Amino acid sequence: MQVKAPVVTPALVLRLACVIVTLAFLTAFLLLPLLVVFSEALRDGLTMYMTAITEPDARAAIALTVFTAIIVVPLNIVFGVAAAWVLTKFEFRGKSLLLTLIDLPFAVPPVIAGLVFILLLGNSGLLGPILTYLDVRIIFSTPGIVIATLFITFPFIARELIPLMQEQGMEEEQAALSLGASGLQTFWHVTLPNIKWALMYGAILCNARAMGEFGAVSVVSGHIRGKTNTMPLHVEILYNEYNFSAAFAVASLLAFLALATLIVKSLLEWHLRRSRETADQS
Amino acid sequence: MSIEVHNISKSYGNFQALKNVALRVESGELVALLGPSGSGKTTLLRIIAGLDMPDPNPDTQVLLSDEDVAGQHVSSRQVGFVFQHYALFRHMTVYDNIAFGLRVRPRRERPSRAAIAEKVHRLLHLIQLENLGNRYPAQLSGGQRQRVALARALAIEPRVLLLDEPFGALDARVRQDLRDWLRRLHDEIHITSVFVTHDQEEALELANRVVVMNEGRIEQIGTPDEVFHHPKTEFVMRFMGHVNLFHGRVESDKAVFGPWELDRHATGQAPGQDARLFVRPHEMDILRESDGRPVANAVVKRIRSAGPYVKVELDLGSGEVLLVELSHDRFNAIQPKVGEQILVGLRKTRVFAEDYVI
Repeated sequence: MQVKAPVVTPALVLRLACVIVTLAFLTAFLLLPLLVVFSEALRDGLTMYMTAITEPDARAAIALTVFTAIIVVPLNIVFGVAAAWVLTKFEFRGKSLLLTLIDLPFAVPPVIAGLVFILLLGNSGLLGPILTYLDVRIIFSTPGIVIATLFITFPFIARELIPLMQEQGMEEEQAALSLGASGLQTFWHVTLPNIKWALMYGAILCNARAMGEFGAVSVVSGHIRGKTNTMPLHVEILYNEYNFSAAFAVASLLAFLALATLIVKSLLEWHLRRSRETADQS
Repeated sequence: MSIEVHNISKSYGNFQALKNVALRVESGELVALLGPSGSGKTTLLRIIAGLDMPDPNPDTQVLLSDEDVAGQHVSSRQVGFVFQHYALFRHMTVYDNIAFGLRVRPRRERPSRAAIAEKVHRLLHLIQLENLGNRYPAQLSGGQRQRVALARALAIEPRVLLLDEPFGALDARVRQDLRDWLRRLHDEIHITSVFVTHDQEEALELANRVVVMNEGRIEQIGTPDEVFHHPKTEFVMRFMGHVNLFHGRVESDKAVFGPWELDRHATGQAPGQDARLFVRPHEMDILRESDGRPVANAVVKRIRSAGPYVKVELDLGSGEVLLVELSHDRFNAIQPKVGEQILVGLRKTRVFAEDYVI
């Protein structure tokens, strides 16, 4: 039997034009920059590349970036799951306000977010006297970087989970409870398995942003070499010192991270689609 | 295990889903909560289960085997609840779904692995899905999923079984099969069961007793025969199947409804009020000559003879269309033709006073 083509197939010319425009755009704004990053990074040879990413300041920046992500991602997983759980499984006053507040970090420019933390936690800030009295240093130090990154990345996981959990409803949870399961057992055996792919997807995006965040971190870090420099800040410093190949070498690590994120992300998307499809059938 | 509720009210914002409802279900009964959507039947079922909480009121009681469980959480009430859309755990196999309620028990009360396996296999046998233990819910048909949901609820040896529109999402054939199967199952295990339905046929066929609900209140409780043949209210009369309705007035010795005059005493209504006459299609007859009972002239508009009854639509001349159901034998004896003038008689009537609701 001959399968008829859909009635609304656009003309061949139009389709070709769309493909060409898309490819040209992708090449100009994604592929070329990526190539430039790697070619600039390797311009002075592999030895220089290795030196640039293993010298102490670079190593400290990498360590700080990884350290920040290791703290931020798990905390935001906990926060994201808790927020999505509350927002999708319960009805209460002020629910839509809370939903809007979760998006706040997307709306506030990162630099402003950084400034807010300086005004709040800096020496002359609102909580400055207390922090000075307690001899706790947050701004221009690692805790400040962690807090700013935490703020910037907290919507990522909640945003991934909310639509999925809304769609799934709470009948399965109610069924588990009626069968005698405790709240924790219900969460662990019923809720979590149903959201695990979306959760991983959100965690990957959260991690990418945590490692790549520049604006907010730049404001609160103070750019102290070997101490409060993350990788993006380190790249900027090297670049401002006209140390282009070293700057691009460290940048290439971030580019690798981006590529890895994209690959994992598309794998997860594929999984997520599949689990949604089976959910639709049931 | 009996179920008893007293003084149950439930409101959602301005909407009152239940208005001071009381009900007792005896041990081993199979009771239907029947009503249109929005009548509060599902809410009542969920309150019995503990999935919803009634409005706070010191007189409110929810008793399972005469023990007040109103303060107990759903997880400790030990009720088997079957959801309308099954709510099977989609990432677990059929086997794991059924075993779930046993596996989540505290270690002291949890049966051994072998005991769980034995029980799950017994339940799989009971629901006739022995070979499908390894399937996932998405790989089952609607009827199979419904049976898995039932087995999962039965696995915890519940005190009572509560089913929310158990056959609502299934097609007609599967519905009938599953209905018969559930009836046989209940005859076998005699667990006190309450199911919600909006299908009067389902309720009448399956239940020992039917609770008819409307707008948050119970209209009538009775056996299927009682609610069908002796409806207490107009709502029950209308909800139990198609009715022909005539407005009229009760006078001192007779009651007049359009073409019909009835003896007032037979209607049981006080004189001097407006009333309505209800007649079911199968409680009417068509005749060539009057047999002494009240008759009216009518014109045959349409005849539908496919099915167990012949449905004849009649026009009383006033534009009102009347539906009469006849047996094929009776129909063949009379042989009315479309467009023909004929007599229509009443074999059984019910009169309800007009309730003035302003």
